[in-house]
Parts: sequence; structure tokens; C-alpha cells
Amino acid sequence: MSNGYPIEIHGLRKAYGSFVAVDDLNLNIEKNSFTGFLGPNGAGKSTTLKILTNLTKASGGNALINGIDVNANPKEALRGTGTVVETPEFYSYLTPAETFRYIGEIIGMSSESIKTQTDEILEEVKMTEWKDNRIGTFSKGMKQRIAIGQSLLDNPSVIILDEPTSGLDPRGTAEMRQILKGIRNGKRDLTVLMSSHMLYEVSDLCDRVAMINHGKLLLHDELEKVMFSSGRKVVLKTVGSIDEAVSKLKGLSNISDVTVLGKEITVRLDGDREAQAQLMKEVVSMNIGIYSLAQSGNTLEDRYLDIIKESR
Amino acid sequence: MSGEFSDDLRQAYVVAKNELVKYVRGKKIILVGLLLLLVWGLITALPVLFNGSMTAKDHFAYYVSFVSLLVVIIVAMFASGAISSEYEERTALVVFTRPIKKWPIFIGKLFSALILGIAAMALYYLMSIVAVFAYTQELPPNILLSLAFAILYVFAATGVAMMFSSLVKKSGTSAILTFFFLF
Repeated sequence: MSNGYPIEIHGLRKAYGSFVAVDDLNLNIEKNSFTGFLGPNGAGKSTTLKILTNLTKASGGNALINGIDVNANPKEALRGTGTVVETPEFYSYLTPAETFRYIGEIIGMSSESIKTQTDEILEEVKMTEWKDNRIGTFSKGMKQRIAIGQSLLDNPSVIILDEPTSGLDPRGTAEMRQILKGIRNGKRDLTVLMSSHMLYEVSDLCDRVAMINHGKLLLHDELEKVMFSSGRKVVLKTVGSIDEAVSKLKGLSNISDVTVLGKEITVRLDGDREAQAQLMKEVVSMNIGIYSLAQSGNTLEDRYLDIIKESR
Repeated sequence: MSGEFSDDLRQAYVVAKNELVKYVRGKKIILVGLLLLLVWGLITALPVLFNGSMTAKDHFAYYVSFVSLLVVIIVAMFASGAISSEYEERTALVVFTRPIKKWPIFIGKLFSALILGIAAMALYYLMSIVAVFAYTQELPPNILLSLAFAILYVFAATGVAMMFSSLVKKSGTSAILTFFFLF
């Protein structure tokens, strides 16, 4: 059954009476990837993650972590797995250090290991200062940093995050994204599956995306391929003549579509990063007053909306 | 299998230890202490105030007559929220997603609730015996038998409270069901 993927989902199904939340879902998560798990509300994301974290049982199919079926043997499957499901709460009477000790003891870590890792992780999630304060007094953002921190205990090989920035204010969201980036870029041998509604966050953090709707997988691929499968949208701004710039841009070989909105020219570029670099070189040599050339920030959102619309 | 079972027991111990920390650091423990003191104080003071003369057996019987009520209140306050509070306060999202079976969590919580209930009863009996002895200069009869029945009731009542706590997801509902079921 196992194909060596850290997370494998085969024909997964979850029904609540007549409502089918997850419908024959098949998904394999690549080792060492940071995969964004996307879909509209009610698509089945949280249900899938709850099955993977043993918070609910599947009606059919299998969900495997490191080759072990979560439904059949949750204890073994979740060994070596860190989880943050929604916005969890912690025992208000414990401090972060005590919380990590409690969870570390449940996992079976040694006292020495718990102590060492607690200091390291609290530093990583920027909570060292509040190490010995009771969690009951913490803000939502601080609690969520503790949540991320506890998921890193015992160096897990898989981390499952269900909307880790949900409900946080802009500052808390930015801090959380920085922490997640630090984890992604760190030394850990880690595979992360993260559901989110924040498409900017997904395009900033993830290298792969999986999209589902009505409990079925719509797409699973590298982020770059998903974002640019129908070309790159590039926005140019000029201080020169718009008409002259448009005319010259239309003459370029990789440009398939040119639209103008005010002083902005949006072009659809067929090709990859090299094509974008080439475009940059060409517009400079054209001497048409281009002072800004940027990739459109809505690329993932556009693709997401297209794919979800098609699936309806 | 025995290695896995001993790991389950170790985890149950970790859960029980954490529950006891919760009890000790919470406000409910102060309420229970005040309740025990109030009941004990009233039963101790009333015979003195009304200058009644009682044998050690009669005096002790007054204390013992409140045991079942005390057990119901203590159990409703503590054990009835043991499982339901994990869902209500969303702490289940952390603990239940860890490599731990459900039964070590249940046993750990049950065990800690039993320890608290037994400790409260032992304290109440000790305070009662001291008061009876101070008042009558003699020890009441059947102390250990009475205490044994009280502890037995703690076991039964805690079991009922844990059952309701597992069935409903609101601690308040569980406490009310426990109280009225046992009362």
C-alpha cells in the first residue's frame, strides 16, 4: 500500500449522514515538500486533516502517515507527526515550558531532550521571554506560536497545519508567516501539509499546492506550474508613451496578450522565469520609459478561482 | 504488546499528573476546601452553641451524614469536566492529535479525580475525628468501615461523572447531569 510518500491518501471518504465531506480523495504528499492544501469552505480540507490527525474516523479508504494507517493504528502513525489543528487552546494553568514538558512526556521524550528542545523551540517561535508565564494570560497570536512550537517537539518528520493563521490580526499573521518560513528554511528534514484560505500565504510559503472541492482532488502540482500554467501575468509601468510601449511590447515573441489600465500595462508572458528575465532585458533595451516590471500578485488567486469555478 | 501497554500506562500517569496540577492550581480546589471547612465548622459548632450533649457515635454520625452530599458536589465539580472540558476548551486539539490512545487519557483523568475525591474524604474524616475526640474525649466507632464506604461511593460517583463527561461536550451540562443523577 505504501509508496514511500510521508502522507498518502487513498480513496478517502467521510460521510456525515447523506452529506459526503470527502469523496474518494487520492493524494500523495512529496517528501520534504511544503504543500498548501486549498479549497473553499466545506470543500473537505479540515475533515481530511482531522482524519489524518485522528480527530475523526474515515468512512472509507486510507490515510497513511509514513506508511502507517491513521485509522487502524493512530498511535504509531502519529509518532513523529506534529499537528496544529485550527486554533488550539492550551491548559491556561501551565506555562509554555510546562506545556512542552507535558506534551514531550506524552510523546515519550527524555527529560533532558525536552529541556533542550524547549529552549531551542521557544527561541525559534520567539516566546523565550514568556517561557515561565502562564498561557492563560497570552494573546491568540502568542498561543498560536506555542501551537507551532509544540508541533516541532521531538523533531517530527511530518507537520500538519490546519489554517495556522486563522483568526490572527495582521501583525500576528505576519509573525506566524515568518516563523513558518524559518521552519521551512531550517535544517529539519520535514514535510509540511498546510491548509489555508490565505492565498498570498500559500504562494509565499509553499512549493506545492493541492486543491480540493466537494471532497475531490482537483489539482496537485508544483506551485510554479499551477500559478503559471496559462502564462505569467506581468505588470509594467512607464513614464513614457503608453501607445508606443504597447505597440513595441506586442512585437515581442513571448507576449500573448497586452491590456492597458490607466498607466499600467499588463502582459501575458508565455514561459518561465528565464522568459521573464529576458522580457526585463528587452523592455530596458526598447527605451520606452519602463520604471517598474512586476509579476502580478494575483496569479494564484486567479488560478484558484478558475479551478474552483470549473469544478462547480 | 507488553511494551506498548506499559507505554500506555506511562502516558496515563503523565495525564494523571497533569490533571492533579490542574486541580491544585485551579480555583475549584479552594471552593472545595471552603465547602469542607463550612460543613465541618457548622457540625462542630452547633452542638457547642446549643450546649447539647452527644456520644462520640452520635456526633460522628452528623459528620458522616454529609459525606454523600460532599462526594456528589466534589465529583460534579471535578470529574464531570475531565473529558468534556477538553472539547469545550479546545485543548483536545492538542492532546488528542498526539500519539496517545483514548484510554490512557481516560484512565489518567479518572485516576486523578479519584485521588482528589479520596484525599478530600480522608481530610474530612480526619477533621471530623479530631472534632469528635475533642468534644467527647473518645474515638467514634467504625471509622475505617465508614471511610471505606465513603471511598467506595467516591469510586462509583466518579465513574458516573466520567461517563457523563465522555458523553456530552459541555462541562456545565455534564456537572448538572452528574449532580442530579447522584443526588
